[in-house]
Amino acid sequence: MPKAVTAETLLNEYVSRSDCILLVNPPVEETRYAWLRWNQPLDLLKIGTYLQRHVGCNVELLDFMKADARGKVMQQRLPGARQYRIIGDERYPMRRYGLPYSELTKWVVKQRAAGTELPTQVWITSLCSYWFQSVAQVCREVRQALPDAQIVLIGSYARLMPGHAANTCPADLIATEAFDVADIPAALDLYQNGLPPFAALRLNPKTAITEIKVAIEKEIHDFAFFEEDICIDDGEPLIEIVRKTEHLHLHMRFHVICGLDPWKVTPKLATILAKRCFANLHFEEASDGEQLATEAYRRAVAYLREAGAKIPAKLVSGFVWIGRPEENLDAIIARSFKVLELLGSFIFKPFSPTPGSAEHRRYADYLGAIPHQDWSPHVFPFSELNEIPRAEYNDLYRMAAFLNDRVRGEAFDFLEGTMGLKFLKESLRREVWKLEPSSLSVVD
Amino acid sequence: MADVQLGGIDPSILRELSGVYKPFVKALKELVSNAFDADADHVHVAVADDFSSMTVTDDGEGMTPFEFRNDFTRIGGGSRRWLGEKTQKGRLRIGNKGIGFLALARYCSRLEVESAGSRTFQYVFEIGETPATVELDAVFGFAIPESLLRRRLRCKIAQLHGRIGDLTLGKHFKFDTARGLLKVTHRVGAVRPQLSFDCKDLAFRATLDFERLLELADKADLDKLAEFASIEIWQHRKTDSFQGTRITAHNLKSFVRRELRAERRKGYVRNIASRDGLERLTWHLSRCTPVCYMSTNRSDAQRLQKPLTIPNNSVLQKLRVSHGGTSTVIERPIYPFEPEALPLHDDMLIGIKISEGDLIADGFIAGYENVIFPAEYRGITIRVCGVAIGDPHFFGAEYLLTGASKAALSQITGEINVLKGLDAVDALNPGRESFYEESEQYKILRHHLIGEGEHVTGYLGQAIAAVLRRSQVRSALKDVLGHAVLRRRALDDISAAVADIIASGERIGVAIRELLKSTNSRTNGLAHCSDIPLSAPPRVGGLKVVPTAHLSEPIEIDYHKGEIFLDMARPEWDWTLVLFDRRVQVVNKRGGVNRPLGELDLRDGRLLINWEHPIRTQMDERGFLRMALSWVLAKEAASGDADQMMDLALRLLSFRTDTVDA
Repeated sequence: MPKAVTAETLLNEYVSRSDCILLVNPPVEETRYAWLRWNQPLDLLKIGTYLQRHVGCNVELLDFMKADARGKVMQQRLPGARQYRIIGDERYPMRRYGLPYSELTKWVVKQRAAGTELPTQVWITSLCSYWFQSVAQVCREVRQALPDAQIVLIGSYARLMPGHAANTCPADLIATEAFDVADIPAALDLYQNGLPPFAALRLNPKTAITEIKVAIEKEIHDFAFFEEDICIDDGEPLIEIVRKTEHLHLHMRFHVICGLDPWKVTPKLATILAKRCFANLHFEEASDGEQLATEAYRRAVAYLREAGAKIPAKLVSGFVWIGRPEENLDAIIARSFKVLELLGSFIFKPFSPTPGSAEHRRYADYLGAIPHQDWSPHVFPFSELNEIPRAEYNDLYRMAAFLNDRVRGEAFDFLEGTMGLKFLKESLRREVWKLEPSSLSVVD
Repeated sequence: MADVQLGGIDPSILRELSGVYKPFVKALKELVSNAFDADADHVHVAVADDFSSMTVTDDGEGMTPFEFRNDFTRIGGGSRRWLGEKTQKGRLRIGNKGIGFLALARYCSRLEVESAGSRTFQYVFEIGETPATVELDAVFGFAIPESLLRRRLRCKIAQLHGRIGDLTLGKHFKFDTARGLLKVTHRVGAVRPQLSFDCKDLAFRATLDFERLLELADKADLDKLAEFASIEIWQHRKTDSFQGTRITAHNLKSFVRRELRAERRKGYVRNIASRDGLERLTWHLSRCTPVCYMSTNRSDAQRLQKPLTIPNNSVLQKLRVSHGGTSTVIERPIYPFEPEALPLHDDMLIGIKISEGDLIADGFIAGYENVIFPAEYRGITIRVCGVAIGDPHFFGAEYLLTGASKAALSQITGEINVLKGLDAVDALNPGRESFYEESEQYKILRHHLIGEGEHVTGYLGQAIAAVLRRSQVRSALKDVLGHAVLRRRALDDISAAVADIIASGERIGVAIRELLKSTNSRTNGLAHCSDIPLSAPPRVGGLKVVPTAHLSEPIEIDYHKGEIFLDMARPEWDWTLVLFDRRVQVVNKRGGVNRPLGELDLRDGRLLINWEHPIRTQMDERGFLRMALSWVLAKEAASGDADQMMDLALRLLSFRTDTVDA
């Protein structure tokens, strides 16, 4: 059985200068992964720096999820019986996002042929606990290719579900805590065969500024913030980072892909977010009790417009939660239209409880009967609880695609200059799918 | 302008002869060959922007008007006739048939020749009876202006039978330069006049009207044959910088222009024939003219530089082709020197040295592991005097061979320089596009290259054998490695399936975990059977297999030593099966028909497979391995629960790690 250890114990007692540590960001087996291009193992990159600087050991990285120069991440349909995941009446096509598992063996063969030192430990991270199956498969590959190496599980899965991990993965150690490495810069130089197209950042100004400077020297111009709350401390860390780096390169772009709370947008922060160096802004859903906090959105939009931002704009949108335990379709649709009206575009954000969180504890009995891989928000684990069939969720996605500003703006461009386009746009504006009571009756 | 009379040919065969040179580049090559024979060092081919004309300029010794008339336009003449085997610079002459001027007849409507040669023309003839009057136009073949005749023509006349000896100008004979006549005024019997014309600083411009010539030839209008050519002669100033010869082909035919103007074929292009028209022209010109070999930086091909070194006086210093403001200096390409050429291996390179009878030849034949592109390089090029004779070919071996041997020809290239022999008139066809196969020297060359009879032997036979040997070894190795990879994939699939089932937390997953915790040996007889080692074979394709480890490639082959180094440390040769946290060794046993399919020995960490089980004949190795491993594990994990066993076996059998070849 693998041994559970704290991050501190792991670093102090299990790693030495003579070790060679391979850090692995495993592939993901999922039915849908819209934010694929933003997968970067920031924790591994920061841990890598720590191990190099403070332990002095040799560190290598194998990032299965690295995008190529065009920003594309490899994906393949799963073969054989795993082609579909069947839940209830729904059949979800499954894909493996990232490089094939055999890439690890190929890497080892290459290292051996080059006479390079082989890893004594392999640390495998995970972004979400419900993606544990690929972690288990990577463990197996490591056991096969590097029989003498110790396997260490880190990341969300190991931290949130150490017991589950011990039963499902043939690992040696499981790190049950997060590493305190927020103020350590990411080791981008661990990417030996081509750099990733963007660099992920945390909101530690000193570290982030250093990381941005290094990345720009390496001709990386896109930066994404990996934070749950990007407006923390009235947005001061974000403001400092942007002000101290925006002049570094003309093509530098920040991507706010999460953590932007409409409530927390201040006039000062809005002047920063309205800058040209912000490529996209995705607002988290802001609620006021049961209702959508429209006031928060209106105020954030007003501040941004005042600061010179154009809203609606192609790259501004708001998330709308779906798949939550106690929701109904009407409320989802109402919130979607409100966000659409306020921001011009909305994106559904499917919900999954974090293991150990309040939601998990509240619905522990219900969730306990669901295999952990089916906690994936993309297969709607609360569907049976809230009685919204999965087919309805699929319809919601179709509706979102149809209603989104991007669709309204561009999908019918091929009809440009025709009456058809005029009618379609008018129909969309009038939301003709909402049927009014008809004065006609059906005659049998 | 005076008309020039064409001599020495029946016009009815003009059309036939003009068709000897095809395609256009072969005709153009004749002009370059003429420049070479004229001891030129630099030749410039200028193509008009609109491809309507082409001018070949050289810095050679040029021509006198008389040489132009008597040699350039004389069919069946040839420079060798009047100047010997070698040029003044010691070059072996290329031209010998004397039909060169007709080369371009099919491709342009008019040929303009400008040249100057500072030599003295001499002509001796006999007059049977005197007094007599001789028309000089008829003797020279064209009219010469009176002023030139007066200043440059000298004549010595000897009496053939009598006591006078040499006749005296003014007394026995005189010139009427105004009418172009030589008059022997006395009765002195038979005489032998010796005319000499000093051509110093004399230039001429002649025009050959090919349209007219071919029209006349069609009508066999002998009387009018002089009308197709005209000449203009003048004394050029000493300040004129022009020396040598300039030949312009005017009004190139539309099909020639179309070819030259052709664009590069769209998409991925590998062959010369798919390149644009001008590229094709320069490439072919570079192959069939006497120019230096291109240089190479390729280490594998540098050893060829020595055998291909040719004396400086055997090649032009520079052959340049220009069009539309760009200029290309042409060098002779050979496939091994091309930057994109496949690697050249020692055992596939066959040096050629032939010295038999009057024939001396040097060169090489090279075989390659893959098909040669551009396709135009396939075959053996024979060069005589540095000029390729026809296109590369295989001396008829292509008609003798079949199957793999014939296919191997597409992987062979070669270059042979004939240093002596085969340059005789009776060895080469007109146009120097092929050999007379009856030539003794050709027979010797052919014998050395492909042997005799219906089997291809000789140097080419060696090359084919080397290509086939490699192909067979590669194919056999691919087979061996392919089987190993498939067996490994079967093990990986089972291993991944076990990991997946355990991770799913299902009941059968728990059953497998429980099984793997045990250390029981559940063998029953198969353990005592002998092993079948499915490792590397001792020999592959006749080469010895040397197991080794940690190579950069799965295999390395040393054809010289006859050894194959196989990297046995690679995963495909590993028979370990990872079952969650246990590693077991899969051992293949010679169990025969009465033994079970497989047995699990967790005490010693082994999984035994009966490789001689009857069901093995029903499926391939990968399928059998998957099936055997699945059933053994399912049986052991299910502990007598048939449903669970079936469920688990099917799960294991249907699992694939990745999509094919991932």
